[in-house]
Amino acid sequence: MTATDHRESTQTPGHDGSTALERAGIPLPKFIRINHVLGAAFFTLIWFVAASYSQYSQVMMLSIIYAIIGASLIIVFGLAGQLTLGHTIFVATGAFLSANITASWGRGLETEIPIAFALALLLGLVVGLPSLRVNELYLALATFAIAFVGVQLLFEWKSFTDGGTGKPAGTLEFFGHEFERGVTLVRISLVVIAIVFWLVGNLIDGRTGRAMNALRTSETAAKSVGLPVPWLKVLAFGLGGAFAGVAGVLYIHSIRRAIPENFGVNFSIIVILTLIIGGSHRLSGAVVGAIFVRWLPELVRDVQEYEGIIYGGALIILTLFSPSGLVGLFENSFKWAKNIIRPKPPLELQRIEGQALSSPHLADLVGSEKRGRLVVESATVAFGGVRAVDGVSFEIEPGAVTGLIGSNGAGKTTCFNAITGHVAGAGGRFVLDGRDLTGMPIHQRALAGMGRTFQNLNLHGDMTVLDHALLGLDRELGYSRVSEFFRFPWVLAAERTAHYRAAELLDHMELLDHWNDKVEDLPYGLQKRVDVVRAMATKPAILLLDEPAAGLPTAEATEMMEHVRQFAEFSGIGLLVIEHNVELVADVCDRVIVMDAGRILADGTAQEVMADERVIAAYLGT
Amino acid sequence: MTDILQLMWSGLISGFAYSLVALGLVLVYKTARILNFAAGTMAGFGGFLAYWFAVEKGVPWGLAVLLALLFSGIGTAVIERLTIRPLIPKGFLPIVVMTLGVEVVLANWSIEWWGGTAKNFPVPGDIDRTNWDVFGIRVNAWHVVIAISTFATLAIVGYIINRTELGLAMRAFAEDQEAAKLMGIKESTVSQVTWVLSALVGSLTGILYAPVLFLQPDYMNVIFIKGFVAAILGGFTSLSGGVFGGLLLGELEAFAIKYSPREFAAALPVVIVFIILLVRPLGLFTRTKSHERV
Repeated sequence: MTATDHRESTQTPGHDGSTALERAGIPLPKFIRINHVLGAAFFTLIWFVAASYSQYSQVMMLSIIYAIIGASLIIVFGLAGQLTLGHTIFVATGAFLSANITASWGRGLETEIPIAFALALLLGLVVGLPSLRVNELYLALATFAIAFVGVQLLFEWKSFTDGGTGKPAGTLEFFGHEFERGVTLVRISLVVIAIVFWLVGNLIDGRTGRAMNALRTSETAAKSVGLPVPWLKVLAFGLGGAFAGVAGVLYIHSIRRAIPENFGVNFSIIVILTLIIGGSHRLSGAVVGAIFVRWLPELVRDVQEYEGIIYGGALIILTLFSPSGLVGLFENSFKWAKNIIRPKPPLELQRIEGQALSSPHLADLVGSEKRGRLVVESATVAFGGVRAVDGVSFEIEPGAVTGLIGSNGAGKTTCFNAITGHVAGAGGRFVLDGRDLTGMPIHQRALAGMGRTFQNLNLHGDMTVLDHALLGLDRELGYSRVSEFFRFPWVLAAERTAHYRAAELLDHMELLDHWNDKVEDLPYGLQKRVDVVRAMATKPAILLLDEPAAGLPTAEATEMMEHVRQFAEFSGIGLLVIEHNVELVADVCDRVIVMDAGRILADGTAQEVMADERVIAAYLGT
Repeated sequence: MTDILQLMWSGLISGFAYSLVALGLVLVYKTARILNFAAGTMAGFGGFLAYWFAVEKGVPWGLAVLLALLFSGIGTAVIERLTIRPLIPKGFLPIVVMTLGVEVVLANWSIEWWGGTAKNFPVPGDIDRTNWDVFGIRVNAWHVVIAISTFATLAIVGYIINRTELGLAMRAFAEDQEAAKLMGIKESTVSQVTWVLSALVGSLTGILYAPVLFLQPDYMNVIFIKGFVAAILGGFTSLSGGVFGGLLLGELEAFAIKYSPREFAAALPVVIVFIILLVRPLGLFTRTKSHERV
């Protein structure tokens, strides 16, 4: 169906019936992707090759185990950005559980793998708990300490681990069928890794992966769109632990004996290093890293002695020149070569003013009632002895555009932060549309309808423009994190709806041409719009914009603000804007509040406020 | 009573090591906002260098120590220039990962160079075999050397930080990087000086404790972990906090080993610190959280 066929049936004027998503050629999320095909082909190839090279079975096994551990680390480190130096404690958990299950219950892999998964998941959640309280520095140390204490505990827990001598592996069974090790174990492991990769791949492509990616680059911004950042971090540790536990089961069947001291910090460092060498942003990175680390010493015997130096050296060189590892190096050279051979012209789409807002995909945004009635009662923020915000009270009528102006240091941004929860220990009461938000954490205020942008942007540099819009839409996806793993039909349906919506929002903010660009590569003016679009996508009741026009030429700023106001009117929401550009404020705002030294100096229409002598004095100095 | 004093003395001796390592870590963290996971291996490398000069090359002991410090200083300057400084604009995580890479290379190189077996590093006049009786406490002469050297090191570092131009630059940097840069303080100089200074402190610790611990490829790693813990106790941004944290940990550990079941003694201090962190996420000696700009 082309756009022209559709025109007759679409009544909305100025709308040609096409969706922004189609015009920009944004691919919809699918169940099977090219990566699945490539991955399946690769694992199948190994399956058949394994028999002919049975002398390499052990190396293949170790590569598979390292790749699974790598996949589990992608969740913790690659996505959520939590540097963990105690990760192999989960591998140990899986390994010793396996040995005990086979020894005392006589059960096989069908029991070992689920139990290892479940218990390592629980342990991971517990290990992740400190991340709720401490910052990245302490967390790295906490995981370090966990590795240290964990090995110690395993060593002493003799009934479970047999202490220093270690526990031997049980028989390799699956539902009562006993298997040979060697090639058969490699094949079993190939099935396991394929399943693990499918699950983790779905996680990366779903809302959880997107959210974890976001919190890695800016926790503040992730919270401000309503993502439960603390829970996501703990979840990352849990899931990472769970898959590492599965790797542990394969580990003990392959090595045949698990010894506590082998699971210490050094092993954790090696698996981290392996993933970073391969590339921590993709599953293929886990495979490439594992192959590099496990096969290099096997194929080039001379280097065996210098293994550690080579891996460490590779890590140093890659961190300097290709932070996304070997896979990233390949991807970038491929992109570069492609660009040389057939340069892709930048998208330049035809844009019809107002088309996006009349799209059916944004229809449910139309506010029958105006929203965004914000009541601030004696907000107070003190830093040391300085009262940055000193008993500020105001009410904002629903659906209104209000400007908040004042000289530098007047307390405008701090006032914003008090409203959105970004500053700890703010006094006062904050009520949005009748709901008391006082004391709520940032993300709950965001979920309650508080959308905001940042003075210094706070974008997620390596995510695309489209991803930013999808982040804002996270709350509307509605599928559970379990169904996400299996990419059930309703997961896909929700993702598709979100993609349609995101595209329309991008179109409205004139960002559609750049939907697939990494945000860090965009010029400043466009980055500002990405910040706004992310907040818009959260379906806020009120949008708080912190200096949206700062650093932009007036024409560009006016245009952007015009789009924001259209959106606000369209969806009946309130706007509160901090701005220095007085012209712009007078243009856009129905009402202006002036702050000075933490207090409200004046409040009224732009004309009234500008005529106020105290305001003139505060601005020009007395 | 003498039992207790004896325990306190031995706690103090291990505490000094933790304090010195914590000092080096806090120094780098405070000025450069970097966590150096290679600190333990770098310190051990210093110890090995001194051993190599003194025992394998027959250089007089004092000169060997000076040469070891010289080379570890130069080596660290090179490492900082080549691996750390290019990453400064990229922030915390890449640099920490980089220090892991440096750690792996150095650790394997020292195994390559010196082998994996434990070595005895004799001290001049074998004074580590001399014991004195002080009010009923057995005091080892080498431990006294350790104590004196620790105080001397703390005094020198304190002098550099508080009384010299370089120290002023470092403190300014720790306070506010942006403002310091605007005032014309060069980030590269501060970064280099900080790294070299912390490496010198580390190497000296490695040399001081080599006779106590036996030289093995990773002999400083345990001390390094405890130094970390000490720095956490001290809040990680306070130099004196780190030093006190080290002493506190040393005592804690000495008593834990004596009075708790053997199995858990080694893990106990780490567990205690873990609990402290959960209750006071910013460490014992840090009072308020400075506000973050959004």
